[in-house]
Amino acid sequence: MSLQAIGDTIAIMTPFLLAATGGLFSSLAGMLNIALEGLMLNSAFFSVVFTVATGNLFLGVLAGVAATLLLTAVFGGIALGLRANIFICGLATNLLAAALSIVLSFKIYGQTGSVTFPGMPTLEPLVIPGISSIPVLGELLSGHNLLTYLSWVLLGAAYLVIYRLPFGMRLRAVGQDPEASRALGINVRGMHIAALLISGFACALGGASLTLTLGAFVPNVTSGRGWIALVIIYLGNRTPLGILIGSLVFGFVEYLSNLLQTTSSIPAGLLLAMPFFATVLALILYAVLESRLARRRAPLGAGAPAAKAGADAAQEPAEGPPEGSPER
Amino acid sequence: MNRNRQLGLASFLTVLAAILASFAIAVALIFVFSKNPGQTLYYYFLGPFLSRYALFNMLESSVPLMFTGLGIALAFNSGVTNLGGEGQIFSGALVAVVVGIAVPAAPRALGVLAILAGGTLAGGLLAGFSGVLRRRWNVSELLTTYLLSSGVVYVINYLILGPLRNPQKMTIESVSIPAWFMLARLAPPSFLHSGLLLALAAAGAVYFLVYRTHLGYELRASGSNRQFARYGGINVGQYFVLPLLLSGGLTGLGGAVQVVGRYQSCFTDLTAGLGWNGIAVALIARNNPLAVVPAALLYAYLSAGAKAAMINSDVTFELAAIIQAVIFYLITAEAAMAFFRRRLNG
Repeated sequence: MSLQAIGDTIAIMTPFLLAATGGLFSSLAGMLNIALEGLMLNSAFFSVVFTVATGNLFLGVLAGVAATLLLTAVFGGIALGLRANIFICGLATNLLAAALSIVLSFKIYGQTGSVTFPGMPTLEPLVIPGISSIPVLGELLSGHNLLTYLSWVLLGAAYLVIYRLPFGMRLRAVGQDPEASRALGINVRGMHIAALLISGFACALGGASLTLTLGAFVPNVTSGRGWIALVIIYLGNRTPLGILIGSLVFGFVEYLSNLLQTTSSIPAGLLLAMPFFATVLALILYAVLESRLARRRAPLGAGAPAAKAGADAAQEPAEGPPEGSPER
Repeated sequence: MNRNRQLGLASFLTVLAAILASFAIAVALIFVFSKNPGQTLYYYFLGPFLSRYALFNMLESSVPLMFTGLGIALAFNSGVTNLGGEGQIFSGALVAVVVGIAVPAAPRALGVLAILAGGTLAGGLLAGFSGVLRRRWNVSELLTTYLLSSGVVYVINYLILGPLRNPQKMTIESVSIPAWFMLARLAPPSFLHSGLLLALAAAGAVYFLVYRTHLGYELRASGSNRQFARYGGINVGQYFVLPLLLSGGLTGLGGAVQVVGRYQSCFTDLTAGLGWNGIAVALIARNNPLAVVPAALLYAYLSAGAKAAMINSDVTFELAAIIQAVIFYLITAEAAMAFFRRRLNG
């Protein structure tokens, strides 16, 4: 594999990394936030609209973030405030973001399909003076756009916040046992709101990184990346390092899919399906590996129950709708 | 009023409140987005009732919603999640086409039966596979149903654009099944077809299965409390696979009925969000298979209104999706439930 391939993979993984970093906070707080997809899409739309309107990328990103925080507030307000099922509210958010972008696009540009803006400023690669001169590393780590750098900073910040700050301790406590946390005087509702807003913020940056490099808005431009980010969080064992590795893997899958579209005779339509099947495959491999490990760790004769326990722990983030609402 | 009655009534009032709130938001949005709100409102709310043709077409569009709603309600009743409706409908429709063109000389009844069975099997296997993954390796079916469905949608789109494309048509669609396999039209010139009767029968059958059989009892027991069901001696493992198999089968059947009742072929936007709308229909019906019928009708009305408004006025169809999102948001609100229960207690 060439350096170029790794460099491209690092660029492609940005939206995955940002969405997964955001989703990590809501996941650690004990909420299944399946709205990552919609939150990203919302910002992907609004950041383009405002970049075109103002001619300024910074204002565009800012507007994308603001619009997405607003949507997160609606989502969180209904899920937490009205005690609605957070999973169903997440679906509603995805539906709303997709529909809103098309309705507004029709209102503003008179079009419901893709809209391209030839003169629009786009996110350009930045060369970092110090790093770019280092032989191998320079080629990999320099020459990305600002949001890619920001995604690394955010991941580092997430690590510090989650493991080194009282906020992170409280966040994880709330996720593990809301009742005990409440008894300890932690504001559980407040932590849930904070976690959702953080995930909204990070998803907004992720969405902006998709369309601001493209210079266009394409309906459903996120195309499942928010869902894959959920899988990345789960496969990454809900740790920042795991998320980084997961994002690299899925960034590489997308890179491969892009590469094969231009270099192979496999029809492009089929390659679009690849990331989804690769994700399922990764889920299966992870589960098989985990059950193997659990069996090996267990003392002789106690294999089955130990494997079961491991599987149960792995299942934890997936809360179905009927019992749903992990809050309370 | 006994407790169960009261719970049911509070639940019904919550659904009603969510629907009324969504209507209010629809009116507000139309005032924002339409230059001629009076006309848009007229078509949005009355469009589906303005002619026999419109009314019967609305009934027709409720048919696939009944199948997907039933599929999702069955899954929810059993405590599993099926987010792959889109892919299951689509694969049901595609396999229906493939079976239809494979047995062109079959007797009509047999051919139709084979087509419907093929669609059911396709959707069922797709969802059932997620059930196997959940049972065998505890991989969340919530994620795999969605992911597999999304992948399959791309594959089927490829097949329609490529190998199965009908070269004689201007529009992009698959080859057509023989016309004599098509279900009877109930009220021509509208599209309403006898698939409606099949959907009603399916609602009755699913209700019977869930509430009147031992299997249904075990499904619901596993759905409401899996641990407890296990202690009660129920083999809960199989109740990951079976409900998903049945759920996907119903959605797949819905896809096949779209082909054999309405379209005669498969095309790229055939699903049109039906998989997601099925979830909303199931939630409005509070997962009761019989209530799925009126819930599907309500949902069909919302979509038909948006279509009428789109054709006769200046709004896009996606307006309906925003309004549907509002229902989604509010339908499970427990705060509303609690409010109505307090009120009923006086």
